[in-house]
Amino acid sequence: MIQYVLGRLLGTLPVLLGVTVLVFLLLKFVPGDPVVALLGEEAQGMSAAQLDKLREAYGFTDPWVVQYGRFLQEFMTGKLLSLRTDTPVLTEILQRFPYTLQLTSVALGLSVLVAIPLGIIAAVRRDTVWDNIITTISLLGISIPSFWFAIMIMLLFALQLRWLPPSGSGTLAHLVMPALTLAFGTLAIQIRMMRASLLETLPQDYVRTARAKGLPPRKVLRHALRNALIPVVTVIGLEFGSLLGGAAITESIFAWPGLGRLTLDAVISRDIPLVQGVVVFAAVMFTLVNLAVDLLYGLLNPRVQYG
Amino acid sequence: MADVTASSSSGRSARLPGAQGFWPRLLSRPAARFGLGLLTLLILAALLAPVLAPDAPNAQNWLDRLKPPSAQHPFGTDAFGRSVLTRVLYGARISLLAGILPVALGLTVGTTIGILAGYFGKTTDRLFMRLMDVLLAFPGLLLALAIIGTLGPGFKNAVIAIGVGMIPVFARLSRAEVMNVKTNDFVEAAGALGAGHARIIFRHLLPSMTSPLVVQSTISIGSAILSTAGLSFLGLGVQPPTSDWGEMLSSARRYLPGAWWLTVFPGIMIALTVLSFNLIGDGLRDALDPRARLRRTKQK
Repeated sequence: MIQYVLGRLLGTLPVLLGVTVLVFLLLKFVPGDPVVALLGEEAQGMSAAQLDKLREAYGFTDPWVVQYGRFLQEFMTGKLLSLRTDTPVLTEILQRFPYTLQLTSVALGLSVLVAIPLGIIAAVRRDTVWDNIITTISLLGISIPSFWFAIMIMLLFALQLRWLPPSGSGTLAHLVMPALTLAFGTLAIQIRMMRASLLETLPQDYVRTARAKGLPPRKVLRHALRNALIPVVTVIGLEFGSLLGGAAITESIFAWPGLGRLTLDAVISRDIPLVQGVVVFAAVMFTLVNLAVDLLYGLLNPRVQYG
Repeated sequence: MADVTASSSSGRSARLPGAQGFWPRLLSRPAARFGLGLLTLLILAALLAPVLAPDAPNAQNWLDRLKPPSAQHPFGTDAFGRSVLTRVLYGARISLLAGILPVALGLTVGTTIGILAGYFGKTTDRLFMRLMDVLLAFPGLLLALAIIGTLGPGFKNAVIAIGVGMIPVFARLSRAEVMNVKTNDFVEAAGALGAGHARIIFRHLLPSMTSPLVVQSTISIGSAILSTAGLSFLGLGVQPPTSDWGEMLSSARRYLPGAWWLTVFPGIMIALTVLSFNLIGDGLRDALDPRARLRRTKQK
């Protein structure tokens, strides 16, 4: 088992290296001179000779492989600096990450608590009014833009009813609306997955056997659920890993100081080292969470063999 | 089995008695009918915007600033006194493009990669698929944000950013289809008869994968509209004064809670557009995927 986990961890290395190469290459696509792009307004009024000197100082005249190696080394050792604040990119990321982790956990917890029962009801009461209502809710969930939902609940709860603070962080009340927004965004896919997966499981032979030997319906459902949950767990895992990279739109609407907002600020101010850092960090998180989900399979489904 | 042969070659083989055509199957579903009707209306709105709209999209009227809906301005006016209805109608053009263009990019590049990887296998396959794994390692909007952070904001860059993110989905889908179809006798027979790679790919492999690609494209258009609107909302996509639903929502935030009509109408339009593509996508899947149909009939 341990050997298997280590093997899988090693297996993610090429992908993660690929991510760093791609993120490094992004800088090469910046239109115009990289030094001008990095310095922004400071570069204006500099002579060509000064720019040449800076180009050499930044190492843009070195071969790409050397530049990539330096980028990787600086990132890993925490020496990659943000252009705006001159603090190490890694420090900024680690400051913001707890906020994103908190928001993601609460939001996903919320949506799982709602989505799984709804998905089960829709599947068990298939083609009834309940099924139709739940299916409609989940269709609306994937069609309504999360940022619009966010504005609407802000309008209702913060500006009309004044129950909640409109934005910011610090208290539990601040967490409610961003968590609701993210939960709403992930609800639909979980409901659909739960419903579809249970519908595939219910007609299977072992479920029929359980029913035939006289088990009460609740117990039959428990049997079926154990297998039906496997694809749902994958979806939840994917959502979790993806949200850990920060929810740029939601975090910016509610001024939540997480990774998403950091990414957005970095993109708007064209702070390229910071963009590179956040993106690599988020991709690493995402990959690791996906690996963890894969390993979770075994716990849910004893038929999965490691080796 | 009858269904499988009827649709796996896009209707070119003889239909067995009882097998319905594609359109009756699609239109027999109320949800799909509703989606198609909705989309037709949206396309008409986009095409006829200059005829239907009360004013030009950027006509400003400083006397009529931030007016609630009325007979003269059914959706109200914005902070520049522009008609929200006009801007919503013109916004349909941008939004439909914002959905279609990224998918066109993802579909073209992704399917090319998928076919090459699936058909030639070995090193080509390994190389391309590792590259796709790398693209898939960027969660959510992050790849798009990184690309825009590099290229700068704007509609064209937003389309590229969202489109690149769609490449791996289409690559994986078409690769799986190619791997599945290429072992069939008819493909081997074509090869034995001396057909070249290009002929096998275009005459035999591509037609057999249109169904899953059409379904995936339809659903992807919906999500591309959401993503591009999100980027515009963040100020990274369509730039003012172009009328775009995401951009309208973004500038409307400043006038909350008073001017509710500025946020309600563009939001509903985005939701309806995405909903129409989702409904059509679901309908297409049921009408085109023989396995889904078989499953349904079995259960009943």
